[in-house]
Amino acid sequence: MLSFDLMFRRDNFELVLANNSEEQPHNQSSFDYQSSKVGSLQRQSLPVTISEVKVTRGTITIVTGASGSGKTTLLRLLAGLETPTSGTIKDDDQIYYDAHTNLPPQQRDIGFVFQDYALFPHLSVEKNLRFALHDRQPDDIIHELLDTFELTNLKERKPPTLSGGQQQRVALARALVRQPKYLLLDEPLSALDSNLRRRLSSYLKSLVENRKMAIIMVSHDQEEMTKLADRVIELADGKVISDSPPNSSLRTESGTILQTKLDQDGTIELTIKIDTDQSTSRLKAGDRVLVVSKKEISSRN
Amino acid sequence: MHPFLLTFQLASVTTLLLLPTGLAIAYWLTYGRSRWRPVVEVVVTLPLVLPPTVLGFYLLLAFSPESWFGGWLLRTFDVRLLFSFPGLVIGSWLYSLPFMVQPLRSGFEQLPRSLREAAWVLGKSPWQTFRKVLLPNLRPALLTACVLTFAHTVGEFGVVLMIGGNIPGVSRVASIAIYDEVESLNYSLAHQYSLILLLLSVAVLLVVYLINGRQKIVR
Repeated sequence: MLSFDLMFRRDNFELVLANNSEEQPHNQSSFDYQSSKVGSLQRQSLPVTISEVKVTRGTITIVTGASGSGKTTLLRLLAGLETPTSGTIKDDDQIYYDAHTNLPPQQRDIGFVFQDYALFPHLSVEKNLRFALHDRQPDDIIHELLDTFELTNLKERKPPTLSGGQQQRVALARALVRQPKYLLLDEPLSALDSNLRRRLSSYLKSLVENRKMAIIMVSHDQEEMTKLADRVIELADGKVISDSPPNSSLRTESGTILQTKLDQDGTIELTIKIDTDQSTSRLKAGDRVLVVSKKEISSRN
Repeated sequence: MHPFLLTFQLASVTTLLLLPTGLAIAYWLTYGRSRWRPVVEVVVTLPLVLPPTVLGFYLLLAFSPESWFGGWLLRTFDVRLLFSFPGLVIGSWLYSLPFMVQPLRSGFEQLPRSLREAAWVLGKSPWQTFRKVLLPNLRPALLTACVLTFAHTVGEFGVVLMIGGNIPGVSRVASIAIYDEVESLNYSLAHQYSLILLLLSVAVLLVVYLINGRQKIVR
């Protein structure tokens, strides 16, 4: 199980244009240099705060949200490509990150597929895959992956000569060579045609079930969410605004669904975390609204 | 030794020594986060701005047996850098530093960040990543850097004159020889030397642009 509790802040400087159009009427003939301030550099912080998320092996979690909401940053933090400001990242009992430890990406059991695929342009498709092999890892997996991802015919080609969809398959195959416990995918299926997408989706699903891998992927695709995901985490402004199974129409306001358990008699047990500055959370299921206060947590439906 | 042979020897040795050191400095400048970076940047860029005679003058002072550094070298290793080939190599190393570092640095900067990160996530150490991923993709920049360094060292004049003087076979490189021949009004030999340098420079640059141009088309 990968569990994390993170806080990450990066300061960016952004040019904010000064709105001084009113001060300068169009018919003003002389150009007043003093008042023609274009704008000012302002410090913009983009904090990402994720509290107590646990990802169990054998599941697919989709992270969604508007651009700039911190999805990619979250994946980068987990992989060790970005260092949190504070918090912890743990793989069961092994600490990836805390106040004393910061394991480099090489030592984390994590695979990563980049949005730009990051294929090595000087190596052929096959060599890109071979690059990922451990020192004494047998190379059967290379042929298996080339076959699964329908890359055998392309194995001698260099990545720059491939189409977007083909490159994406190589990137996915390469990330699987080391058979990591956790696979992080930044919009992995976006460049594939629907046919291939369906086949690779089911392949990912079987990987998760057979190899007990956990996949965390960024996606905007509604179909992927309902068909592939066991769980959908929605981010906005660097915070989790909803965390729920994909099929449920359950949505919370000012709170987060941490855990959902469906019993055989149809009882759903929910664990909801209410934001600290709120005393209640509104839970929406279809058109029904349930107000949950901090005192009363469990509810039957 | 003929001035031209000496020139090429100096340029080759300088380029060979600058390649590993330049790579290390360029890598550090691109990816390092040290607060000393601006200081190193100044040192690396300085030879571009400084008159070669100024650089040569300070090296002359430093290499002189009366100075702290020159005296220490003489006492400890019995090495005299002034008016010697090794001294010229050190001077050229410093003088041509920007010509090696800048192309390599912009080469590093043009590589996507994710390339390095992908190698890390695939378990490769920073050294393996450098050797197997960054270096092969740096080939055009490497070629440009080496050729520029070589050519720049061939054209070196002020620094050599200051710390090497004009000793045939030791420090009388082609550019000094031309100056010397003009001084003694021997124009025909000066013509010969100059023409050879001119043609050589054109040929070298042409090769670089042809190779780099072809690589761009392949990509």
